[in-house]
Amino acid sequence: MTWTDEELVARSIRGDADSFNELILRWERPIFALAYRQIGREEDARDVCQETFLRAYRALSGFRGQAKFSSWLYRIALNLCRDWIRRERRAPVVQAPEDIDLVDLAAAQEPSESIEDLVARQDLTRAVERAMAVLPEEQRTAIVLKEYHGLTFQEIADLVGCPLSTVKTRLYQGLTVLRRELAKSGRVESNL
Amino acid sequence: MTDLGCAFDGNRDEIVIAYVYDDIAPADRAAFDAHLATCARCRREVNGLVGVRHTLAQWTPPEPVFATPSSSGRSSDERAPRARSWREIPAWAQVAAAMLVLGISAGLANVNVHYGADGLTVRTGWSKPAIAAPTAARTEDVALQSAPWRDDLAALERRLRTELQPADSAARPLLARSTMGNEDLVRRMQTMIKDSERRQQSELALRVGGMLRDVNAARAADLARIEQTLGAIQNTTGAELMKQRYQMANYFSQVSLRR
Repeated sequence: MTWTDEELVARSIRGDADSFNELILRWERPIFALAYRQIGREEDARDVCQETFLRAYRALSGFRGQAKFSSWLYRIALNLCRDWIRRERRAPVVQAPEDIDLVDLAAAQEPSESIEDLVARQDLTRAVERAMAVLPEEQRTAIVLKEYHGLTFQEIADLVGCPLSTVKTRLYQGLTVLRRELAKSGRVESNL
Repeated sequence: MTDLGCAFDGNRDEIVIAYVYDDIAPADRAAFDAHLATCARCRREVNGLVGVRHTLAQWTPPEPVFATPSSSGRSSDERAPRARSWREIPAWAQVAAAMLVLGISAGLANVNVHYGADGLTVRTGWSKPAIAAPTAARTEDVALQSAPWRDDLAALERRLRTELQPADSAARPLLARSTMGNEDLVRRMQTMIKDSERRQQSELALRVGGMLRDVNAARAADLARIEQTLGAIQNTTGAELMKQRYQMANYFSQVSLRR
């Protein structure tokens, strides 16, 4: 039987550690992906991910179910990312190496992927990471939540605590900046 | 921000983004579709932003390595079949494959090994007996008869026969006995050869039997070892899983208590 997140939360509150483990298994990858796209460093994203679950566990008894568990978890992770960015006082740029490490490349290679495809994928990843690093934090957050986590405009508005129209404006402005930045590397047509 | 040259009546930016993400009310969509039909600038912008979304969709974060096993994560073991090599095949299977290849090769080549008075002869299905040999021998005879040293050889033969005549007549009864003995000797030799062949066949059968026993034993040992290894891996993985879960549960409990 598959429990819903909320049911697993209720069981965890009653002391069932396995239920919380199930929640971790279910959400660790999305939370890591969110943190990585926000702060751009794998190690730190992993730390943020672990800290997110730790904080969630501590505050579990305070979760009333007004929002979805995933939204609650996203909010914790975004707050931690914001703290990290402020603490580090540096732009959350993904530090891609200038030279290509063939060993890393080989490890990252999909079974059906040629080395040319792999290099192209790595180039694209670097281009997107550089473009995303240019965005202000609130625009990047809106784009990450909408683009990669499929949240609705309203869910994003509730999560970040701003009006719906502001979310749309941030998305519009963010995508426009990304379009300009990606056009520099020839990833999209400029036509601005 | 209303674009110059665009006569859309409303909050253009919000409508554009809602349209691009397909998160738009049907009435708004219909209105914007109608506008797009007449506004090249908006069409270009929508297409450009859709292109950005397409590029963004290809950005994937690295595969994280967590302390807890992930149900959705792709483990490195899933790539293991790619690295499988000939060395991982058990020894018994390699021996069996080698014997099979050898047998098929010998069958195809129709190998015929013969050991006779003319020494060891190995013949395959593609090499035929030397049918041209008699022709060559006849040519050789003609050449021999016309050779210049032929007369000298004949004279030497005659002289030797003359000198050996007394000895020959004295030895005649012995030769008669010897002829009788030769037939006996041939029979005995044939018997010995048959016995030898029988012995060799028995020995070959014994060796093949022994080899099959060895292969079976090696196969059984390999299977036992594989089962043992798989069991050990399963036990270790299960134990690790349980250990990590309990450690995490304990960790959370301790942190909770400290708070």
